Parts: sequence; C-alpha cells; structure tokens
Amino acid sequence: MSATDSSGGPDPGNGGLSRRDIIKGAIGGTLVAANAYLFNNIRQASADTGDEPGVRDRFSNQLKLTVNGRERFVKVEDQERLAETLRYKLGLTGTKFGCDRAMCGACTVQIDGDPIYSCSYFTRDAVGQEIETVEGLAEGESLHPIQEAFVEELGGQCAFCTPGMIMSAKSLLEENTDPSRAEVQDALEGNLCRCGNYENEIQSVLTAADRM
Amino acid sequence: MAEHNDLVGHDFEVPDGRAKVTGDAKYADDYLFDNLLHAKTVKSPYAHAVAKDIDTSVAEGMPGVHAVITYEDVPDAPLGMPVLAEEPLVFGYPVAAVAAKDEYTAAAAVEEIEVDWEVKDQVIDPVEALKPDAPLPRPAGNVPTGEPAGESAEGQGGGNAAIDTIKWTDADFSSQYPENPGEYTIEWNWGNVEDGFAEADTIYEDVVEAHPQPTNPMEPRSNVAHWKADGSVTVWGSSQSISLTHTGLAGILGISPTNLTFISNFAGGGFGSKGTAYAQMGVPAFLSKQLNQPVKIRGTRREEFHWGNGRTTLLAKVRVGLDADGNITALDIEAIGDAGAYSSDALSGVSSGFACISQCWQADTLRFRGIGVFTNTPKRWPQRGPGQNQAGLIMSQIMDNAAKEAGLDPLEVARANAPENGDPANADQVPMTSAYLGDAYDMAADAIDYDAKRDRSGSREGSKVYGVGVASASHASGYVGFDGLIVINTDGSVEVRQGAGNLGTESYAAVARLAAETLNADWDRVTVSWGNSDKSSFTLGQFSSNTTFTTGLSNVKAAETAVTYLKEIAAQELGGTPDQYEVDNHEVTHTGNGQSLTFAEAAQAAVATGGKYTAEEIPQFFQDNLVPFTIGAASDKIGNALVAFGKTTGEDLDGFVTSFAGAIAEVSVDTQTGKVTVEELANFNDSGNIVHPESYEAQIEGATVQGIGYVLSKHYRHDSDTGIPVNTDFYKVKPPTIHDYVAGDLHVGGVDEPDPYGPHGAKGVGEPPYGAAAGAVAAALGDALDTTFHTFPATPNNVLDKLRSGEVDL
Repeated sequence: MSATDSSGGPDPGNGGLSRRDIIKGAIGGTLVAANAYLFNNIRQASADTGDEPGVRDRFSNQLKLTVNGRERFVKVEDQERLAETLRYKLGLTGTKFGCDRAMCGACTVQIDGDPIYSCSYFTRDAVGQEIETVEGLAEGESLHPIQEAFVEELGGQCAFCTPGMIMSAKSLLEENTDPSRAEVQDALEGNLCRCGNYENEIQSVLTAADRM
Repeated sequence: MAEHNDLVGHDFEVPDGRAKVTGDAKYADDYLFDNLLHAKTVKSPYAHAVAKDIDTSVAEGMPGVHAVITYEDVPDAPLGMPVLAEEPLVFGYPVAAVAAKDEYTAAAAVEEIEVDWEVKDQVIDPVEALKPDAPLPRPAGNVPTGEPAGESAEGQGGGNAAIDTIKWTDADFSSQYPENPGEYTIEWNWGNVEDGFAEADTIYEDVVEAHPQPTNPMEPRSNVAHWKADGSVTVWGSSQSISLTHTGLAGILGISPTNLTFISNFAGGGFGSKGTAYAQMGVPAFLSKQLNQPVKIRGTRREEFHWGNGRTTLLAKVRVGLDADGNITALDIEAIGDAGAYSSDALSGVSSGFACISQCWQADTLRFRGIGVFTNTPKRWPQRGPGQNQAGLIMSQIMDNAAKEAGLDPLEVARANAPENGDPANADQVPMTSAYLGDAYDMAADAIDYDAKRDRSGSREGSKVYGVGVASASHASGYVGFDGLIVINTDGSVEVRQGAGNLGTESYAAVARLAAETLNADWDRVTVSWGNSDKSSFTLGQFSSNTTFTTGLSNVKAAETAVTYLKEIAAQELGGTPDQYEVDNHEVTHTGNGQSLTFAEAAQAAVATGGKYTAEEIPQFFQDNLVPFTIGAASDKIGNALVAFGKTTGEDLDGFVTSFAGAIAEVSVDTQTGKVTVEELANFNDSGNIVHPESYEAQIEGATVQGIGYVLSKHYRHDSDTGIPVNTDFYKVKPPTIHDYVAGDLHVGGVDEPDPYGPHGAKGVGEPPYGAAAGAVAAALGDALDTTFHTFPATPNNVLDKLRSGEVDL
C-alpha cells in the first residue's frame, strides 16, 4: 500500500502522469490476481466519485479543506487536530483551545452544519466536509444576526467561549428558527462559560432567533 | 459645568464587542509569529520532592530542540512561585523547560529528560499541618507570618511575608475545629467580646468550612515572550492587569520595566488568578533570552489546575451573641486559612474574610483570631472575593441558625445588623463612605417575595423539601494614589489612556464613560486604549472590584485637568476668563456671548501654545506625584495634542470604600437523590451609582452562577496518601453548565445610591454578589433540612451522607 502512504506533492496536473493514473495502470495490467480484493480497495479509493474525497485529498499530507466556503490546502501531521490546523496553519484563531479534551466547547466549529469539538477531531477526517468557523459568519462589515445579538446583549464577558457558543447557536437556529429558552439551553449545554454569563448567552440566541 | 449624566447610567455598545464575536479578539495564544518556538515543561510527579539531578543531554541533542533550561537558569523566588523549582512543593510544578520547533517535538523532548527525585513528606490539609508530628510543607516552615496583607488588593503582592513554623502542640484535634488551639498570626477586636456576650439573650456557636477550589478561567495561561538581543523584551500574556503585570513581570525577569513591553488585549477570564504577573510568564521569557527568538507556552487545562491558583480554605469557628431585638452584641471568630504551597494569600484571605464580616454584620463587640497555613496543594491566590466570599458562605448558616434560636426571622436579623453610611469597618474601625446593604436586602426580599418563600420553608412536595436563606458579602472597592491620562487630538478625537486590563468585565470601558461624562464629550469621538503597557497610565490591577472607582476616578481627575486646560485655552483665544466658559457637547463655550471652540480647535490652540497643555512642561504637582510610566504613556503626544494628566491623592477621601451584595435564595433538596436545586434567587448590589446597567447585571449574574457552583459542586480533591490531585478535568471538578444554576427566576439589580467619593458616585461591582449567592444557597439548604452543613460543596453524595447521618429529622 506504499502508493497511498507517500507524502505526496503538488498535483502534477496535465503535464505529467499522475499517481492516480499509475495506480489505475497497474490495476489494469497483469498484477490483478489472487489478491484482487486488495486492489478493489485501491480501485475504490482511486475512482473519481464525484463529491467524495479521493486518495489525494484523504491520505497525502497536503490536504484540501473547505473552510468558510473557501478551498484551503494545508500540510498536516497525522495526529493533528482540526483546531490546531485552523488556528496555527490557517490563522483562524477565533476557534479556541480551552481544555484540549472535548470538555468545554471553546473549540466548537460546524462540520456539515453540525457543531463539533475541533480540539478532538482529526483534521484528516474533515476532508470533503464543509467546515464553518466564527470567522465565516460576517459578510464584510455586516455581522451575522447571532453576532449582532451577542454584541447587543453583552453575550460575551471574557468572551473566550463566545465563538464556540455562537457556532452552537448557529447550528441550533439553522434547524429550529423559533427555539424556546429550554431548547437554547440544550443547544448550548456543551459550551462552558466560566464567567457564568449564561443569562446573556441565552438572551443573545433568543434575540437572534427573533431576527432570523 | 452642566450636569448631564448623558453617559453614566446608560447602556452602550462596548468598544471590544465586535472583536469578541468575529474571532478578531486576540488572546495571548492568538498572535502569529515567524520563527516561533514552542515551550513545554518537565513537571514534578510528586506533591513534594527535590530534583536531585536533571539529565537534559538526550533532549538537547534531539532534532528540532532549540534550548533546555532548568531551575538553575532562573532566579530564585523565596516565597512566591519560582519560574522553575528545584524543590517543587506541589504536584505538577515544573523543574525544567524545553523550547522546540513545535509542540510535538517539545513534548517528546520533555519525555527524554530524566529527573532524579528525592521524594519528601507532604501534607495537604491545613489543620493537619498544625499537628506537632505533621511534616513541614515547605523546608522553612508551615505558616506565612509577618504583616497580614489586609484586603486582597495588597494581597496580590503577597511576597513580603516570612515563613515560620507554628505547631498547636496542646490542641485537641478530634473535632472539626481544634479545641484549645495554639498561636494565631492575626488578631484584632472591637471592645471586649465577653462584655458583649454578657449582654446577649441568645448565644449560638458553630463551625463551618468554606472549601478550596481551583479558579480555572476559560483561557489557560498562555504566553509568548520575545527577548531580543538588545535586551528589550516583549511579552504577550493573559492578564487582568496591565500596569501591575508590567512592573511585576519586569521583577520576575530581573529587568527594568523600561525594557519591557507587556501586551494583553484580551484575557480569557482570570477571576483574580491572573491579577498580576505570574511565574509561568517567565518560562518562555527565559527560553527566549537564550535564543532571542519568540517562544510560546500554550497553557493546557491540566496545567491550569497545577499552575493556576485556587480559593483559600477558610475553616471558622463562630460564636455569636444576639439581644432580644436581634442585634449582635458579640461576635467571636477563630479561623484557619490555607495558603497552598506558595504565597501568603492565606493571610489576606483570613484577614479579608474578617474585614468583610465586620462590614456586613455590625456587631457591638467582636474578636477575630486567625492563622494561615501552608500545604502541598496549589497556590492560593485571590479568587473573586478572596476571603470575603468564604465569609459570606460561613456566616449565612450561622446567622440563620442564631436568629431561629432567638425566635427571630433571619432576614430581620440580617437587616438589623446591616451597616449604614459611616458605620465602622475593619480592625481600625474606619468609617465606610457609603453602605446600603439594608436596601439591597429589601430589594432582594421584594423581588423574590420573601414572605411567601419563608412560608414554604420546610414544606415537602414529593421527595423535595424547600428552604430559604439570606446572605451578604462585601469587598473593598476603591483605592487612591493612581494615575489617569487623557489626550485630545487636533482632530477633536479624545483618547482615554487607562491602565486597567481587559478581563471581560467591561470596566475599562466604564472608565472611559466616566471620564467622557466629566468632559461632556461626544462618546462617538472618544476611544479608550487598553492592553499595551506603552500606552497605559499607571493604575492598580483589574481586580478587587476596584477598577470602576480606582481607575475611573483617576481618569475623571485627568478629565478635570482637561476641562481646566480647555477653559484656559478658550479664554486665551476668545477673551474673557476661564471661569466664564463651560465644556459641553465636545465644545468649550463662553456662557455670556456663546462664542466657542470645538475640541479640535482647542487642541490646535493647545499645540500652538505648548507648555503644560501639550506636556512639553509637566506641572510640578504631576512631576511630584505621577508614576513615570504615565508620563511615558503620553510620549508620542507631547507637543502635538492636548495632554491632560490626573492623579488621585486621597486627600479628599474620608473613609473606606466598600461595595455590598445582599441575596436571598430558595432551594429544594431531593431527599431521595440528594440533588439541590436553586429554585429562585435574588441578588442585589450596593455599588454606588450604576455606570453601565447591562454589564452591572452581567457581573451579578455571573457572580451568582459562580457562587452557586462553589457551594454545590466545585472543589479541590487530593489523595491524602500522596497529595496527588484526583479531579483535574472539567468533568470531574464540575463547574456549573448552562443547566446548573437557577431553575426559576434569577433577579438581579442594584440600589443605585451614590458613593460620595466615587467617580460620578460609582463603586466596584464584581465580587460581593458571588459570596452573597453562595451564602444564600447554603443557608437555604440548611434551612430546608433544619441542620448545619459544616463542609461543602453540597454535592448529591454529600447531601445524602448528611441525610443518612442521623442529624436530619425528615
């Protein structure tokens, strides 16, 4: 399986033979025999399956991520977590490390619309998924209604938890445009706020819901 | 000058609001650098040990490792925390550090450093530490001595006390509070308590321990340092304060503050634990000193438990005498505090607790005796109401029980002993400048419908029993002797260059509102600088509920200087005398003929005139009184803007500035599961005039959540055999989540009566409502079960233990 383990490089493009072509060539040749099941896997991984990530996207160290609607190429370590990649490789430092262990929610981002703890999510697993961070919400100078509400209602005290809170709130409001107070509490229960600013955080989300 | 109050008392969009919601807010770990190196530390796996030998040779040879330092490469710190320790006095304290190309390499290098440990005996319980045969937690002794640090602001310094050994050789340790105790290190009294007890109709005595807990702000303490080859150093840190952290850190690094720039634009919470400079800041700095490259240490949550600070234990035996009307005739308190392994905060915790009790409960006579003790547990350091909030927790149940024993209503007794303006406080019985705790109790009682709650007290609903409790807390909330600086630029814009940090309380913004109010300035044209020591007028730290008063007042003084200058310039430019002018609507106007200068025109005239108006000459008063950093903070404006300094000297301050909170809580206790639910809570502050209603309420709500977490769930737990902490994760230490505070309504507000000395009548806000909330919940819990909880937190397990102990009659 060494063909899929290598560190990879920039796509050779039209001018040369891509690794994918070499693999396809090999599979099409004389090697297919008793170990066909092995090559079936490679064939599957190599096939162009539309929106699904291919070999290069998933296994090379140079990954293609979709962050806030933009394609970003980034080289990552095997054990690298999404929060590390976002913060230190892509400069998106709005996503915070609060605990490193999926306990506080300061690192919450959206993956395909769902809130996840990016401190405990391997960057490799985010390939082919839509990653949304707090930096992706505003359009130019115009804040997202949730952000606007958090400013007005003083939704952040020290505000270290605020980006994560906002991302959890966004996932809630995308599914439920008219949440009750209890539903807001349930949606934010994975986001710890040590300032104890929960009353303002709840009110911020309810205010945003009114406007969305 | 016209009295407008256009700004004070009204909500506004805070200057950092947008940055906080867009991800633009830069915390210490959010700055990106070229050539940044990453630090990790080698930590002690024991509660008390000596590093006999540290072999760094393998680590030094690893690819990607740039530097390794040990305790030998950093200055010694006799009582405070050393940056790296030869003899770590608590589990997790570092002895060596590595700088490498990335965190993974640094972590791998740490694994390759071999330490030869000599394990020493440890002690984790402060009472245990007083036993004759107990080990010494520190080589030099078991108690901090010397001058008690008093209120917590001074306690932030913490390093001047000496260490001694005091053992209670004749005490009987079989009860919760030792009988026949030995020597105390803090003692003071008002009158003679025995005379007071002779006047009492009811005497009640009990013991309550306010427990220790970690502080754990959301942002672990990350720091970046760049020590350049020319000796200048820049540190990007996480701190509540700018001025004091700047000078304190220079001390840790052994350099002049003039060679240090300290930057902290946003601090992700601190609650006292990041009040001033802390030892961790030295780790990247001393690594960078060897490399002249920026070095970062990214604090982790685990490290926050060991390196961060915690709340001081306060174990108190209280004896109170009441007359038939519920007046306190005598109050006699003995207490033991826990300093952890470092600093003398047990002393300030005990003495601050005593001071708070003397303020909230006006007794005819009182006596306080206390001692602080070291243990091999994390350093205790001011944590939001350090000592005062333990006092709030302790006193509420005791006064509740005493009132009931006297046949009186607990709220009536609290009300009868609440302070009024000018009543005495502290050991020296100094008068309080304003005190409206009684009004705060009344507002809380109205909000929660106290009589209905009292009627329901003790009643059952299925397995639930209801109870109601009253409590209070206070905190010194104003200091003098600090500086302010206001700049009016030639385009008319106004800058308030204040020196408080940005902890999240928005009090730095309140400082600007107060100054702008004095200037009658157009708020849209006022900016406030924060976060950079090069632009900070010198002030106290952002802690001790003091920023609004302390930094607010010094910048109001600067605004008054600016007003004086504006009038003088207008008279010079337009004729007449300065007293014929008033400053209003961002203009200075002749009251007779209506001629005026805009701030822009006045600043341009100031620049043309020069001298004191542009700080080319510094008036003698300011030369004599300002801290030089304040003048330095104006250096880029000298000669090109109107520059106005301010200084609070305190000569007009006649008394002690204190804020109060009064709270009433109703709880239910599920006798089958042990779960305590706070059904409803009302918490009202006396913090002078309210400057910014939205943040005022946020402070009280946040303090309430934290106070409830303190009394119901959070605590330090250490294994007594090894001294190793056993709950160093959020899910084990259980800070309150969004589901864990008040099930029903949380009512908050303020008395909104002015303090005569406060800037525009304001005092500090943040700390008292925490102790009041914790105390009210504790008293309500005791009331529901008609018992006393002697220890906390009241977790379901602990409540069930209490229910099964036979003490509770259900």
